[in-house]
Amino acid sequence: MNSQSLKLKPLISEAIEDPQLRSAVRKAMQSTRESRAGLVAQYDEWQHWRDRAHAIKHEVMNHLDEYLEQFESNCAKKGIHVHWARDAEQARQLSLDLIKHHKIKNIVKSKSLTSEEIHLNAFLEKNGIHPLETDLGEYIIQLKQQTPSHLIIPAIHLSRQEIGRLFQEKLGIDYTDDPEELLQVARQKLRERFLAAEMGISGANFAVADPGALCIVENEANAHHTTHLPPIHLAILGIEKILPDYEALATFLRLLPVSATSQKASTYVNILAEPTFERMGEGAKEMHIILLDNGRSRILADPQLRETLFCIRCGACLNHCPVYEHIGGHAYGWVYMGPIGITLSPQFLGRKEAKMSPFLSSLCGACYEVCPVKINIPHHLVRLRNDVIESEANSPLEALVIRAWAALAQRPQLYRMATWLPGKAQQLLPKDKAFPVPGYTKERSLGRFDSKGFRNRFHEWQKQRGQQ
Amino acid sequence: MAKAEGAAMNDSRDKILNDIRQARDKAQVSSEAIPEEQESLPGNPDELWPRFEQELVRIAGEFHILEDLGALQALVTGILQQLGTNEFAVGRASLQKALGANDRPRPVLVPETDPVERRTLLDTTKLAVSMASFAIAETGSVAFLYGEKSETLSLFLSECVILLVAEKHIVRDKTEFFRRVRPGTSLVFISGPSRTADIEKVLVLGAHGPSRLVVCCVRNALWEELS
Repeated sequence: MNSQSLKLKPLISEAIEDPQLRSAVRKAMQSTRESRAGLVAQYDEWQHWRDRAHAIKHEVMNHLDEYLEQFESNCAKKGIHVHWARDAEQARQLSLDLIKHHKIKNIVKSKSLTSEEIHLNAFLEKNGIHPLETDLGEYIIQLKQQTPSHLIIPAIHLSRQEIGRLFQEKLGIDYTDDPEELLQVARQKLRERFLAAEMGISGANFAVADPGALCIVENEANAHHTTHLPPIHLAILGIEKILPDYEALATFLRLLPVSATSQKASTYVNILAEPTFERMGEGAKEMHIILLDNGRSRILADPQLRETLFCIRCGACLNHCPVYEHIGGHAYGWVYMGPIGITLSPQFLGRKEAKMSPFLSSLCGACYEVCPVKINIPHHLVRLRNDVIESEANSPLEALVIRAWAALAQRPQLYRMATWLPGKAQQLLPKDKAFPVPGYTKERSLGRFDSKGFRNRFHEWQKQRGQQ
Repeated sequence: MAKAEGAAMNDSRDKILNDIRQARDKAQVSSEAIPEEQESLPGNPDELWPRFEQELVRIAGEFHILEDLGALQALVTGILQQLGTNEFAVGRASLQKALGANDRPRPVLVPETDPVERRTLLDTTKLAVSMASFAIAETGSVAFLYGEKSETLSLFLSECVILLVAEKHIVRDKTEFFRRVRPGTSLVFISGPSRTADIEKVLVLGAHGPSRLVVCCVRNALWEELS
């Protein structure tokens, strides 16, 4: 298990105190929600597709070993090398071994959350290798030496002015904040690197067992360049990415672009079934795939939580999450953020290491409503919260308060007294003030206790009804 | 060294697969029926092409119907003038023959270029013309199957791409495409010019691929001629 422990409070405070970040995220999420809603409304079949996708994933998880073996066998027949990595360390080492074997210096990368999960870039940098991110948002983030703040739009937290200044400083160009001009600068810089690259590293959105192919979905064409221009292509993906066949893939190719970017279809859907250089004079000469476990088989053992492996990383849950809208992606402290992130981090990193994560939710359920594969995120969060409590990862003070409340709640007379007392005591405070609670009221107000209390008001209401 | 690495790899493979099997046995989750895919569009080709055009234009593509060779030649000439060049690349020998003209250099036949020089050549090519496999009406997409002598670099490195699709090669959606074609090779679906919205969600065309995509429905007789 990953030994990383998430220290989220300073990250959350930093985010809350950044008005530019919050404004940028809020604007982006509002427009994304509107676009997606408009598109979904055009499809009578939307719920049917969700049901189908959920059932396909359910089937795959029930037979994951068979589908993985089928995928491996079909890939091998076509000359694709399939490697298996138990954990992040092994995946990183496999990547490095391949790079060293081919004496590679020049690497381009397309967007891969899995590679960020295993901290591949940092590991390669330590070994003197500098992979260049080619997705525009990832390229910007890499220049700024930050981590992505959204699954799909990594640089959403940055304004065009910040990006303009960044390009001016790092690339030596005249300042501009025009997105089209900034794109042209990046296009030119990256085109040179694409043409000279010796290896392309990618992830994959899906892996299709029959006939043994990867599916990479994108809008920029950088993933196509990454997988077709260099002679060696390395793809790293989680074992849960498997789909049975192209008919299953067709359903997911409907759900993913609508959910991720409010498109009926992503601009490019690359289906890579073989290294093509020998036959076509272009494309990869060698194709390598690393299938990564890194805790996924452990999650699979839980009959409820295995549903969190259905995720197709569309980001729809983030886009609809009121918590994410307020704090952005960096505050989650890990590569997977938002509602799906807070279900995954305790499972991947450990209940104690990610004890705060499941609580970064209002349990409003918006994520479940928009999830294309119908992952019941709120249900899993309640379960994970229980796990955190049972692992005794919550603070002793919190545990004491909960035990005290439980004791009162079982004793109606004492409970009545306990709720009557604060209402009277607060009369000692100014009329617009509420009781402070250490830790809780630093960034929020408890609110004033009602002077009568619910019980008394309810008795009055019953009396009135009786008189009517 | 290679033998040791292979052994270690098999250990990992076996461990992962065993862990998955044990997880399945522990979870004991029953099967669920998978709902069949529903058909979302009518199958009449007369209705599919208008839908394709509507979707393609919505995603900033351009659409033409080509009745004969003269129409194709005029289209290419017009676009070359717009681009301010008379040089372009083609994906098939038949296109090289059909689109040659006295007043401009013969188009480059990409599959016959040296693989090393090809990418440099295409990097500076403003226009590429190629023949695609199928049109997908639901999304305004074009499917390009990797054949024996095909190439894809021109579809991604050039500034403007013209893709020709046979009138008879149109399907409702990707489900129908996969059922009908059952591809065994690599392929790519193309839906409009390349784009990004990574800077403040402002949509900009021409990210790392073409900034302009033109799709032509080619009447069947012309398609036979070009094939």
